[in-house]
Amino acid sequence: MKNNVANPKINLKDMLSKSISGSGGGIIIAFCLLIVILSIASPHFMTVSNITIIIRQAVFVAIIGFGMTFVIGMGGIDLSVGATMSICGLVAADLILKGQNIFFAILVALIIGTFIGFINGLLISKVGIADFITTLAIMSILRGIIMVYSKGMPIYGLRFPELQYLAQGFIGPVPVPVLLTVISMILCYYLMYRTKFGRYTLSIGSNSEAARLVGINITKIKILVYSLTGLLAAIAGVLLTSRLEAAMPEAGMGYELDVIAATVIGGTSLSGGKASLIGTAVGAVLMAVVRNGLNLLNINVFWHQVVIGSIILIAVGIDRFSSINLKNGLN
Amino acid sequence: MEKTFPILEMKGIYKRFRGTIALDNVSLKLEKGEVLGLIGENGAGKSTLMKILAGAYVKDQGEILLNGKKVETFSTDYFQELGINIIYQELSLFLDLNSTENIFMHREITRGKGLAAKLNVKTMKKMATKILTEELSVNIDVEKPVRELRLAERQLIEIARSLSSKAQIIIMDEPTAALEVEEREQLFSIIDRLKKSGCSIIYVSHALEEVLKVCDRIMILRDGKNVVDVLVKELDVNRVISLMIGKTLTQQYPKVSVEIGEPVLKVKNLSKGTQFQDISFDLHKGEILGVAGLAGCGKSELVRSMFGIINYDKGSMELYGNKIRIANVQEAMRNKIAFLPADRKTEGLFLMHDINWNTSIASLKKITRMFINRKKENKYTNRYISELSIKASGPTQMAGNLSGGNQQKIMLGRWLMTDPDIIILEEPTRGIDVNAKAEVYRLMMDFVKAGKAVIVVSSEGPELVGICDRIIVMYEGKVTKVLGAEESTEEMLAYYSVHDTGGCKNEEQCS
Repeated sequence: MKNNVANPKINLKDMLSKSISGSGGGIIIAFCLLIVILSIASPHFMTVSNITIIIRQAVFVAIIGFGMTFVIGMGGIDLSVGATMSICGLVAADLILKGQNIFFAILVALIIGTFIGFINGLLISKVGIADFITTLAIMSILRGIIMVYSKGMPIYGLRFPELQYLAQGFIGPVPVPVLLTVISMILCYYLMYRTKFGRYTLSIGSNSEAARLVGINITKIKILVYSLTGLLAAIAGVLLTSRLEAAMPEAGMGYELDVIAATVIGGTSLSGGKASLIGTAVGAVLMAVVRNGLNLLNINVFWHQVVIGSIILIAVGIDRFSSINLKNGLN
Repeated sequence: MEKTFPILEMKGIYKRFRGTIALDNVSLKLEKGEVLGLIGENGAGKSTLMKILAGAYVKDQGEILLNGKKVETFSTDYFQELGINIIYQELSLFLDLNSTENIFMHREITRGKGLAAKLNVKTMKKMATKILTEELSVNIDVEKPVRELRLAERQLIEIARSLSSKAQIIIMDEPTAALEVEEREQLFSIIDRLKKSGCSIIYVSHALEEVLKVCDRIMILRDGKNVVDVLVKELDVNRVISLMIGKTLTQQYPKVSVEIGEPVLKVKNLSKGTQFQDISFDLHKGEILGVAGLAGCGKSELVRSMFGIINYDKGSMELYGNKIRIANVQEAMRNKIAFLPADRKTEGLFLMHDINWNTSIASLKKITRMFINRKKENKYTNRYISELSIKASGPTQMAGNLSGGNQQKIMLGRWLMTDPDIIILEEPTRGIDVNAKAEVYRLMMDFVKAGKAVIVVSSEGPELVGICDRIIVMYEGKVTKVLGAEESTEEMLAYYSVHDTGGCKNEEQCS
């Protein structure tokens, strides 16, 4: 990873070079190829309205993906993000419909999301249950609670302007959810590359024993990282509720896979130590482009999963290949 | 009359990597039943030469002759077939498999052919036992998982593996690095036996005294070229060092006299279960205190408990007269104690990150307000790069790409940046070359000259004798002897490392 150490100020070039070198270029190639193909295949693809649709679709995966970038960069995994997003959206919707203040409702949803992350982190670091198992079990528990809480029925009819504004409003020409995503990304970027927290997170991912021996409080960092991810999943959940003006109990099913895919094809190493937030954002857009393209080309929904799975394999494969070449070059 | 050929001959070997010449017209000759010592500084080309012999690299020019026949195919499998076997420093055993399975890995004896053929477990077990008991005369349970074996035993399994493949040539890379004195002796007698049975050995090591002891002939490489190839009896350690580095090293152990001040740290009756009991000693200003003993004697656990990695269950510590209780690493660091672990790759470095990252990680608060100040970080790193003469392209070079000596210096820089009063070093010179060793010693001297104190745990007897003001010797969790600088010799260290003196509760009893 190239570090602009000489220049302590953050700049776009630094961010871009970090994202590109972090992702090994594989994702950029895949991305450009895809856009060219889709532009040729469908005249609707390169229209302003379609691009807006894609970006609005991408924000959910991107926001949660920023949290996942910390988790995976630390050498962990979080399978509960889809369910967290879902339950937070549901709680916010329910509270609002029951007449609570909208801001209060949103605050409660964010606290719940953070708390779920906190529990994940606590079980993983204090009790020592493997991250995969912990978050898988939490996902199952949350899905159950959602069904019990909602009795399997959607909550709809949330026509409140303040709520709608979150996902549907504009500030100037920029959609509010896109702005929120960019703000989260910048905050996460600083957190990851400019603070002790980010350093410690990636140090744990790089060599957790060495991290312990330089006095890093691994328990604390793990709990914070999972809490941050829970918070970001909650933000995505509130945004989803705002966009749909409803909360579906089955919302966010399988979302964890999209988020992990976006993060990994964005160049964050599954073995930890290296992370690219910009890569994750690009990965999220890529996932949305793929789904959008499949719709535009009228491809049967059943095939979508096959295509997405293949794209993950190809992108990560290219990445792996180039990193092996790099390694050989060094020796 | 039949002409006899050397078992192995390499002529005019030339190998370059991306513009740097690793080997330049290197020749090597190995006779049957001979032990050849291959020495040189890090980067001299030893490992490249060995990797060519293992088939891992292909030479660019030159020829390799085996029993006078030219070798034309280059692959790891083929070289093994030819009977060349290499035992790497990092042993390549499967820890969860047992000795038999490891010995016959990828050469399993089966009924029939193919992957699905039935393994002939009984025969393999019998053969493994035979090799271990008859050829190596050791008693190792061949059904125990290798994980449960001691390091020395694991090494024997590797040797048994070579023997089972009917190896004619065994290459050993730093075979004694992780071994204790007694285990080393055992290895040397095995080498002797192998030699007598006609096996040839190439012995690669930084431990010069041992090389002189074990080998018949020595070949020295410097900067990818042959320097000398002579019989051992014509050499001594100082001569070897000067040939290796191309100049005379003024002092292998640059011991300077530093005035020993008042006690900094008082350790009283420290105990931890069965690992160590009733350890008491004082550490003084300006002192280098050595801790000696065999693996498993509790020395590592002792210092690790002083750094909060392990919690001791009895005893106390006093720092400058104030009682301290160290329950975790953070508290040790707050009390200005630093610790360099023995295994820098797995316990110390963040190999995929740069020198900046690795240097500042233990003292980020020094350069952070809200955000990490990268300018300051860079400044600190550059300071340590020049003060510790770290050879690197700059602060952004990845730690994983540096040689062992430079990596160790980064570890030192990391802890010096925390401004410690006490540094605990575990095996500070393991696997680094003579020059780097001398520099690490020099840095330790500089540190104590500034009125600080050092504790050094080492399995290198000469090193402890050469640099320490006092040495604590441990055996089975107890201190058996405290040796002053004047009285300490390697023999005494070895003696007290295996003799129970009943333990001593305080220093007076032991000195």
